[in-house]
Amino acid sequence: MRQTEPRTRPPRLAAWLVNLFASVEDAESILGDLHEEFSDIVSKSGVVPARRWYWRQSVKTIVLSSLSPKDRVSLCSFTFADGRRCRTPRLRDNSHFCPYHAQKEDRARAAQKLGKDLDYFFSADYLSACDLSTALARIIPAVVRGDVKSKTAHTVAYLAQTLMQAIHISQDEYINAFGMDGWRKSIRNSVNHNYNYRLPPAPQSQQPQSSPPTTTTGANSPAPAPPSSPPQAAPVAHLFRGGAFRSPPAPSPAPAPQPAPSTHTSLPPTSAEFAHHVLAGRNLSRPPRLPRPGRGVSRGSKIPALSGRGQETSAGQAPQPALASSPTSASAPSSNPPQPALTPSPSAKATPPQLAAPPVNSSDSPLATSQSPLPSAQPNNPPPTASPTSKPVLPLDSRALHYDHNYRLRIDGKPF
Amino acid sequence: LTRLDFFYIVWIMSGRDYLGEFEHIVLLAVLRLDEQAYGVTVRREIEARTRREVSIGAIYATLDRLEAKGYVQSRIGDPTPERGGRSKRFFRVTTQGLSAVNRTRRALRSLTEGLDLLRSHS
Repeated sequence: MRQTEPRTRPPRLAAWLVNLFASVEDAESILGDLHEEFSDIVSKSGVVPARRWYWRQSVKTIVLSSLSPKDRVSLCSFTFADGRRCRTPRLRDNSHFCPYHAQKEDRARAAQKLGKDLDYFFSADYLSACDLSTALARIIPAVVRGDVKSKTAHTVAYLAQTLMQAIHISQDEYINAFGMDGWRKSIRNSVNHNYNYRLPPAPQSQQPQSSPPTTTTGANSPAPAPPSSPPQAAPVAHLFRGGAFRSPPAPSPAPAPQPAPSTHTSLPPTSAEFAHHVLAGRNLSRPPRLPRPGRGVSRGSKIPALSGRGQETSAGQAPQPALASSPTSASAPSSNPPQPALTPSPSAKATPPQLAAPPVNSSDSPLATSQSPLPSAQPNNPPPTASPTSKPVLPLDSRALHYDHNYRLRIDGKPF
Repeated sequence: LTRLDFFYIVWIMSGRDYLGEFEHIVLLAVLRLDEQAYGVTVRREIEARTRREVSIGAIYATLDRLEAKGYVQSRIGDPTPERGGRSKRFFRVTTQGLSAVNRTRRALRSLTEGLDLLRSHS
């Protein structure tokens, strides 16, 4: 009796299979109907015919359910490129995909998020080693996790390597055009923007350190401050985000009269003007220009060159009190001596307001716009996504294209 | 068949969704069962009338398709112990379904009109 009683029940395996393959809304009704008929057959013909009948009906139901698209609601809805559909039962907590495709979907979303982040980190008008390291810090874990394909990772690594080589040159050009202070402010701004982007509740109190680290060049400067700590004393790179152009100009004392080319002229509000301005600065500063660190020049050898240049440019200039009055980091700029021989520590960045500052020699750069003094580093940076004001693109000579790698021109917020 | 009949059939078939054979049978069975139409009774009705063994899965697949077309509506009944605590799913033919049945019947009648089926079969 103990054995016959369980046999009067429908086959559990068949019921489980029906429940697995039938649609969610039909499974209960079908199993109920099968159970009802099974009980009828058991009472009329016995258990064995009933079980046989139950199995036959179950198989037919499974076949029909798997053939009918309407009944495949409980299956994974992933469709392959050739039109076939994944027939694996979907996850209970996932309304669309099976475990495998749900995992793939998660990875795709992670890669999408990573792409968005990288798009931000690389969207600067002036990329720095700090930006590069920040981006790489996001890429590496993603590659390890498998969110990024190895082929894509190879391409990104190659591009990063190329960019790393260009950063030295752009740094030279930047310092040559805007001076060491502008470069430091740019770096500071960049680090702040990156930090604010990663940690949206941007701490207002965090002030980038004014004292420039006496480390090597910005490119070699240490990595950015950890996310937990605000980007204060950002010991690293520089960046010139488009949004930085719009940061309110902080009243900072204009730099002392500097030699024409590398004078601390105000930065133009638009990217095009910026590039034009840089070109003008290069042309004017060409005669006294320092020898550029060659390709083969090691970083160590380049650093002194940079520092020397900074000295040279600042030597002829006034002590460069510009940064001292920067509102962002009250202490930072003030502590900056008039372009000491310190190697270009990336602690300071050229803030957007600085771009609006008028050039010291207005006659030299017709592009100079506002008369605001040199702005200081901005602790409260404007949204980095802000695009520079739209202004007619000035005719740029072919040399401007040379800057395209490092000084990304942006017209109406879009890359030129 | 006259030419007019032919165009009438083409017009009907092109403008409306026609019922398949099994769909037609299932709809008629549901109509006959009225309020007691659910999987088991529909299957038994079809087997009794057509002497054709059908599976529960086929019944539900067809009823789901008809419901998607708007020809039938379903409601869930109360769970019963003879069904293992599972509830029944009752079906009812809608007016659209009734129209589809009539349309199909007219088309079949129109097609078979004038045919001496007994002679051709022999």
